[in-house]
This record gives sequence, C-alpha cells and structure tokens, in this order.
Amino acid sequence: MSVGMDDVERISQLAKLRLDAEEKKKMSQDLTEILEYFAQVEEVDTSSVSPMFHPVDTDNVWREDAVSDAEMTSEVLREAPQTSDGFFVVPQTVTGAKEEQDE
Amino acid sequence: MTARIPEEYQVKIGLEIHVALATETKMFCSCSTAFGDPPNTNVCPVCLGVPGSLPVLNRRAVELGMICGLALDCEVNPQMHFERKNYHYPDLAKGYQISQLVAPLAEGGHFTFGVSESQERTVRIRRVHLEEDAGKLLHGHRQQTLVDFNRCGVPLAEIVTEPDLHSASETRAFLEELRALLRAVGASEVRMEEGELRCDTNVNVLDQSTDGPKDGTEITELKNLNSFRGVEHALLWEIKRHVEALQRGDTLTHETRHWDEDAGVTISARAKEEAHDYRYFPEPDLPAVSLDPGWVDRLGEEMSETPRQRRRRLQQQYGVDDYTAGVLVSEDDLGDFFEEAVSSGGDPGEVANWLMSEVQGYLNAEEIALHELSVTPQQLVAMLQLVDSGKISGKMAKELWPRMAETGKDPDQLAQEMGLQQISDEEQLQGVIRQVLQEHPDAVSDYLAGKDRVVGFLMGQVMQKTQGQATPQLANEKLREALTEAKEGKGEED
Repeated sequence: MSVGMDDVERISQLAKLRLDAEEKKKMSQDLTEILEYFAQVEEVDTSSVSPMFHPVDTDNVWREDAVSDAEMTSEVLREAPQTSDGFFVVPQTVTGAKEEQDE
Repeated sequence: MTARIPEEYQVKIGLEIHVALATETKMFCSCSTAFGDPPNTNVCPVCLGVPGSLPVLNRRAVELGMICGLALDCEVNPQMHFERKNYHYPDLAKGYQISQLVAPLAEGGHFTFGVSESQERTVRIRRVHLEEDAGKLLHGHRQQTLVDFNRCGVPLAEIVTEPDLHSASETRAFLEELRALLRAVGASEVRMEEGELRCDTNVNVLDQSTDGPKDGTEITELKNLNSFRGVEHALLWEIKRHVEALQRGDTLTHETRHWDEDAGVTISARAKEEAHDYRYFPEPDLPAVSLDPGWVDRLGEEMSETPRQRRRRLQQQYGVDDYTAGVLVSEDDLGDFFEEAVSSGGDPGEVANWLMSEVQGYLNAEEIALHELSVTPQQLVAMLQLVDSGKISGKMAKELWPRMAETGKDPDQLAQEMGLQQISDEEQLQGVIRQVLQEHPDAVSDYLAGKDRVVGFLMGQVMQKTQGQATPQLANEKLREALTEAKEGKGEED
C-alpha cells in the first residue's frame, strides 16, 4: 500500500496543513511505511471475531442532566487572539453579497 | 411561483431535520442549553474542545432521542455508538462533530400525518441519530466573523426521512405535524424562533414517461431552512427550476443551494465546497451505549398520546369533525383547553366553535398564546351556559368575550357590569309590545290588511325599545300573539 503525492495533497488540505515539497515527499514515505506496518494485522484471520467498536469493554457511562456553570468566560476569552463584546473574532468566513445585507 | 408540473413528472423530496432536545444541559458537558444568554457564557473545556477534556454523555438526551425514535415508530438499536465527523469551520472549535453513523439510536420508522381534511400520508423514517449542535457565527462585521459557542454541544436529534414527499405544501404539512408530535411527546419544545428545528431538504424531479428526454434531475440539497414558510417557498422555487430544466432536457448538477429569503430565490453554494470527506471514525472518548429493552419498553408505555391518536380520539369521544379535531391538536394547549371545558360541562360543538372563532380571533388580534389568556375553560363554559339559558344572546356573548379575556372576570358578574342581559320576562315583553303597537297604528292596520312584512318592522321597534336586550325568539313569539289577538279582535268588531 502506498500513499502517493495526490493523497498527501488531499489529506493536507482536509487537515488545513500547508506542506512544502520536501515535507510532502517525507509524508508520503512515512505514511506508506506506517500503513505497511499496520497491514500486517490483516494477515490475522478474524472471520470468527465479532467487530469491536471500542477498546475499553465498558458501556453506559453517563451523567444526569444537571447544570453546573464552568464560569470561565473571561478565562477563555483571554486566550483568544481577538475578541469583541464577549465574542471570539475570526477571519471572515463568508464572502459575497449575502452578508452585506445582514449588516 | 407555483410551477405547472406535467403529470408524468414526479417530485421527490427527502428531509434531514435537526431538532434541539429538551434537556437542561449539553450533550457531553454540564453547560446550560439556555437560549439568549450573553455570548460564550455557557461554555467549558469540553464544548470548547480544549485538548485533554473528555465528553460524558447526557442520559436524558439519550432518553429524549429514544422518545423521538419511538414516536416515529422506529426500532431502537440495542447498542449504539458515536463517531467523529471531521471538518474545519470556526463554529466548531475542536475540529470535529460527535455524531452517529454506523449504529444510530433508532432506524426504520414511519410517520403518518394529515395533508388535508380526511387525507393522510405516510413517510418512511430512515433513521434518528444523536449529535451535537455547532456554535453560532455572526457575519459581516468589518470583514470579521463573530463566534458564540453557547449553542455548541446542545443535543440534537437528526431525523432522516426517505424521499417520500411529493410537493412543497405536503412537506410543510409534514413538518407542522412533526413539530406537534415532538412537542406532544416532550422530546423538544421546538421553538422555531430559537432555531430548535432546522431542516435540510433534498429535492429532484423524475420523468416517469418512457419517451421523455431524460429520466430525471440530479438532487439539490437546500441547507439550513429554519421556518416552515422558508421550506415551502424554497421548495416551490426549486421544483420550478427542476421542472423547467427537465422540460428542456437538462438534468442539472448535484449541488448544495441556499435559500435567500429576501430575494426569494435559491443560490448555488460556491463550488469551493469541495467533495465532502468527513473521515468518520469511532469516537474513542465515548464507550458504546446499550439501550436496555426494558428501558425502551417503559418509555414506549409512558409516551403521551400522539397528535394523530388524539385527533382520532377527539372525533370518537366528542363527535367533532376531522377539521376541528385537526385544529384542536395543532397546539397541545388548545386540545387541553377544549377537553377541560367539555369535562366541566361544555357542549363539545359549542366549545370547539368558540375556540376556533372568537378565542383564536382574540389571540391573533392580541398576538398572545392560549396559555397567556386569563380566562379558564370553566369560565368559557359558564359564559356559554349564560347563552344557553337565555340570560344573554349570542350577540351579547361576542361583546362579553373580549372583556372577559382582558379582565379574567367571571362572565356572570361582567355581564351585569356591562348591562348585558336579555329580557326573557314575558310580562315585561308584552308591555313593550303593547306600547309599540300603540305607537304605530298604521303598521298595525297594514298588518290587518294582510301585509305580513310589517312584522319585521315592528320587531325592530321592539328590539330598539329594549336596547337589543329582548330575547329575539320570545319577543317574536309574543309580538305575533299580540297581532293575532288584534286580528281576532277586529274580526269580532266586524
């Protein structure tokens, strides 16, 4: 199994990572090696084993529906590069005619 | 705007409906789900996706999700688990949404709803799964986007239908009854103005004739419609676009479009939304959930009557017609008011008529909800009994009603204060009639000469003299008696 340059390109886009040519080449090699290593697992016959969805054999871990206020608004906003009136500020996500109308 | 759709064309509509479940806290943390709080006040490391934080499932959200599934006749899966759906967007800080893909909460149901008087339709429900809501983005502020994470992590049930709907109006009827259902069983408050029901619709048009140029159009996804009116209008517009395309032999392309409410058109979302690849994988931070059959059964048994069941029962139990029953179940509290009024002695037909005419008229005019009304069902019945016993006329009741609604006073007392009282005393009426006849000898002679029409005129005089308070039926009866007497008296004279 090999992870080609096209795959690296697509995965880095999905992960929002900007890689230069050198890094892409290294990623392609590393990922191919990792997948080949894991491919050994496929040699095991699992036809009589039922699928496992979680490594920890436990279920129904939950909480009751009761509010507890973390009271950390100022604390988390302090970590943000930019805030405004209690909002986080991020670069504009929508461009075009629509948001001019919203304003 | 409605397109003329050729008979051989079939419109197919499927829905993905997101409903906010009626919990106090978020899906995976103990932050409040309250709407309208100052931005970023109901947040914690879990819903902000701070590394190292761990989600813990809200048991009540699972329970409400099961109630959704059961209300839609789905099978609840004995075991479910969660997946991560990966995407990068500022409304979701941790870079993935916890959702369900492989083993959802419930599958394979159906929902029957009324499309018009005495006509029902059934839509298959593919699945109901749980997921968390994203935060809210405010756009268009000096090239900036503002983010509020209060909504991030609020529990949602996503209801996915098969493409079994065939028109915009039918889709709207489906959504309206679905809303009534979810409210009735308590799964969600479904406050539309707070965005508690949002809908993605998939629509395309098939040409079923064999000689058509193409078999059908590609599916269009209309995203994030948050009003029934929006859904209906967007679908009308989109169906027209598909029909016209098919007629010129075009099949369109599979795409996502947005409904622009102001412009009244759908707009293609930019092609930049490259093919989605959410790279789903099992959520390692949450163990599987076993839904004990005993738990499921108990929820099923305890579930409130659905609007459809109630509509049937109201017809059978009280003899109201299908239309009336439909109106009464459209809002829970209207049906409750009706049943309470009837159980305290009201006539079902009269109560229903009043609720649908005067009461709803008042609520609409004042823009208030039924539960904000200070009149009790018992007071409404007391007023109807004043009419039945002849103490006030139907017309007076309509005068009395808005004052009752304003003041919340008992109808008896209020009628006295307002001087609304029918004169049903025979002797008193006979006195008034004698007076009228004396004052209008010409009319009486006309009557004796065979002109029956003047009875109406004389009746008018009686009503005027009593300021409209005479019981019309009784007054009419007594007037005719007096006139007959006059006629007989005249006959004797002759």
